[in-house]
Amino acid sequence: MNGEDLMLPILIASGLVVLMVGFVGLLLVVNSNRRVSHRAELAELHQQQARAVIDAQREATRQTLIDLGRELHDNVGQVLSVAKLGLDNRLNAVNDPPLAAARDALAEGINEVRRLGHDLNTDIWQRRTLVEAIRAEAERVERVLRVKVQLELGDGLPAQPPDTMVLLYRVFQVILANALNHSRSGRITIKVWAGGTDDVSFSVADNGIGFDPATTKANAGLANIHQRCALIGYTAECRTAPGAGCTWLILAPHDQNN
Amino acid sequence: MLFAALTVEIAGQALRLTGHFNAPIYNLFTMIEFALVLRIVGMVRPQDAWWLTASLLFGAGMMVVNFVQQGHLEFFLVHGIIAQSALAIIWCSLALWTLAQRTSRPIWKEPLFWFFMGTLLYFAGIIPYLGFLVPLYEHDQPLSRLLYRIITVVAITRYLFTAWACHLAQTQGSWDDER
Repeated sequence: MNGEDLMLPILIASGLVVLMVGFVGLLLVVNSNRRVSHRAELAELHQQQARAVIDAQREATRQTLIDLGRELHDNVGQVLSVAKLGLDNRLNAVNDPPLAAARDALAEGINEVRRLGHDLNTDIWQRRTLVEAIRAEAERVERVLRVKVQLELGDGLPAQPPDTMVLLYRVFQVILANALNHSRSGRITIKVWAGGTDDVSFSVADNGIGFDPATTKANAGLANIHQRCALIGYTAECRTAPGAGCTWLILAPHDQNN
Repeated sequence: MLFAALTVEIAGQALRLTGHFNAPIYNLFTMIEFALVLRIVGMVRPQDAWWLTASLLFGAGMMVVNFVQQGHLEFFLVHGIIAQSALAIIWCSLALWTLAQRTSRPIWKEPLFWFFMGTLLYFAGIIPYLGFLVPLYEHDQPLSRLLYRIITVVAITRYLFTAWACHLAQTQGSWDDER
């Protein structure tokens, strides 16, 4: 066997080395792609878990509210009704103005308890829309609290899923309660408009004393507004300054980019 | 496998030093290590159990045929070993491919990656040499012995890789642990 004969095994060996290097490179590329896709799968899995947790939280909250509402309506409401019935009977026999005033206050309390029980029952969202709920609340505030409420409704407002409506309505209630309790405002303006084809956005503005967001200590109510909005992909934006009133914008995903 | 290889090397050297042929135990060990490699490939590709068994039988059959042709065991059963090496290269490549697609961490952190790379390197390294061993041995025995060092180098590299694989498996967990 001479030198020329040795060329063949050397060539074969060299070819195998080149093939092996190429193969290892290919393995690294394939493995890299696999790791990238694995990371994407993990991220998706985490998102699914987060959604499952949120759904469970919402379901638990919904059930608690239903139970609470039913208890208020069926139990507390009934007890108060029995008390009112007793007062009615007593007032039929005697003329007692202070007792009559107490009976009237009790009647109003019964109505409020029933309304509260009604509101807490989230099953009601199968039958009414967010706009209807906002309108009812605006009318109640105007009637009971003597605050001027201006409601402006856009065209073509879509009906949303009950879960979304519940969360948006709770956000609306917190904002409205803040405006009524802290703004010293005599006028509240509520605007509702379609935020895309499937959602609605709304704003609540008061002409009260406003506040400085930079110096105002964050509280659970404000944090809840942001947190609840985030659960359904909404954003909450508060525009305020001392003496300039306060406007909350609750924006659907479609409106966040516009 | 490392222990088996060490035992064979010691026995081989002892036989050589006492003036006996040591090729028979290397031929036997080639069969055993081929079976072991296929067994470990089976851990990565359990779906190929049937083909792995067929490969094992084919490799063993080639060794037997080679033995019948050669008529003795005093020399390597070259053709049988080449056939087994070729099969081992194919199976190691497939196992590495599966490993690269399956593992979600860097492949070089997988013990089996180093095991299969070492095995692949070894069998790919010995094929060109063994292919020309017989004519080379007949014409130029000193050159044949000199070139045998190639096998020594690839064998050392292979067992270093295997040792590293064992170290990784020891520190990280089991061989086929998916992380």
